[in-house]
Formats: sequence, C-alpha cells, structure tokens
Amino acid sequence: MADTSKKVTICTPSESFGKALRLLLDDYAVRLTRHPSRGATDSDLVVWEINGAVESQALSEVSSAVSTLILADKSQLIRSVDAGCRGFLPSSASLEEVRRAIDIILDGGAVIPPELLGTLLRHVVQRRRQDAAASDVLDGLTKRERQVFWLAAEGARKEEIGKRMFISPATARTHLQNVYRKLGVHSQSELMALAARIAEFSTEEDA
Amino acid sequence: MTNHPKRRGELMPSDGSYGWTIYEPDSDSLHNLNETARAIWELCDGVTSPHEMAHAISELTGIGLETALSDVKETLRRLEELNLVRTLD
Repeated sequence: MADTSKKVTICTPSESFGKALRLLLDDYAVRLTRHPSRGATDSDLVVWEINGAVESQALSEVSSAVSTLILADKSQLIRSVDAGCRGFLPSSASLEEVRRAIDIILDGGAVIPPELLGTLLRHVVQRRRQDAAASDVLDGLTKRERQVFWLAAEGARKEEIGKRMFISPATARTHLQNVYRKLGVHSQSELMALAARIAEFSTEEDA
Repeated sequence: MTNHPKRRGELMPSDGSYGWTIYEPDSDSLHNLNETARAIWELCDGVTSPHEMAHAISELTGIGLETALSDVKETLRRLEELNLVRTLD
C-alpha cells in the first residue's frame, strides 16, 4: 500500500508522459516539473527522464539530496549509478514498470534492469579498486594539498579555500591544480564524488 | 573456501531460446542461471574476491553488506557444486 504522504517529483520534457504517470500515482503527492532543481529536493523521490546529455554534477547534486530514479537510454546508466541514483530504467519502460520502480525505491529498495546487473557489478568493482588506489594516492599529497582537497570536497571554491587557509585565491588555485593532477580528476564534481567514495571506503576499512 | 573463484574455461555459455545457459561438458549438463547468479559467475575471474562482489552488490542494491556477503557465498557454493567455478587461494 502506497503512502499518500510521500512526495514524488516527476521531471520530464514530455508533458503527456508526466501527466499519464501522475494518473498512475494518484496515491502519492505528485509534482510535475521540467527540471529537478525546482523544489525537487523536498520530495521523497525524483523521477527524472533524461533526454540527451545531463552534466554529472547536476546528477550528483540531485541524487545526493533525494532518492532518484532515472529514465534514460543505457548510455546514461553508469553515470547514474556513479552519481548515486537509486534506480535506473530504460526510456522504453512502460508506465506500469515505472510505477513499480517508484514503489520499490520508496520502500527502500533499488531498481536495476537485471540484464544490466553484470555490467554494473563489474564497473563498481573496478571503480572501488580505483578509489582504494586513490585513497593511497592521498598519501602523495602534501599537507596543504590534503587540506585543499577536503575543503574542495565540501564544495568550497578557491576564494573560500584561500580565506579558510589564510592564503591567496591564486595560491589556493595552484594547490587545487596540483591536487587535480595528482589524483587524475578533472573537475570539482569529480573530486567531490571521489572524496565521498574515499570517505566511505575508509569507513568500511575501519569497520 | 571461495577466496578467488574462477570460471572454468571449458564451459560454454549461451544466450538463446532457452534463456541464458551454461553447458558443463564433464557431466553433460545444461544449467540455467538467474540474472544474479549469472552476474556473480561472470565476476569469477580469479581476481575478484567474494568480499569485493558483496561490496559492489551492497552499493548497487542498497542491501546490507552482511546479507550481500552471505548471498554471494551461498551462490558461489552452489556454483562450485555445479562445477561451474573453481577456487584459487
């Protein structure tokens, strides 16, 4: 039995798809929008239909704040999983399949197309090995670079990093560039995702 | 003990009209694996440990690590029984 107090935000470029899905979800509080940034994070679940490319940072921002079900073609699958989305369905999924997936995720589960499970498990095993290696690489950072790394992982930009470390923004930028180079990351969102995984990995190692 | 399970090389996997199957020549048997067992069997490369498999499953599905590890070990035990993997220590 669905919980009528649960809020579901449906983000889709297709108004007709959104309205049809809303009819199937009449036991939830449903909101339709074109982009999840508009008030979606106070929902219990975001159903996000992606047509074309979406920035990894946007995916991470949404999925870190709220459970997210992605509807997209399979090329988005790995990015969705890496961003922490709780479910993935191909764009061709029926309304009933989407409805079932919503119930599962709101019940605390995850939704992965069974035929893609092997591909995803291999990817996650590889990524976890890389994260473990990156965790070791942190040892290769200087003390200042490690400070910059963790401040950037909190979302701080070079100005704020400079302020908090009592150094100029230019110096903060130099440290940040060194961190990117040593860790092999190319953007702050990649650094943030890496930091989250290192933190998780470290917690597991300590357990 | 399944420390580093490895798929037996002489098996013949096939994705056909009977679904996804593996032919095991020694016993002349055809095995039909479900998606989870198939995914675990495919991870049996002689390098990936059951713990790594369990961590990945736990991350992907949200189930607890202990449950995932227990499920992985049981699946590997069954795959060994069926002579579909062998263990490298």
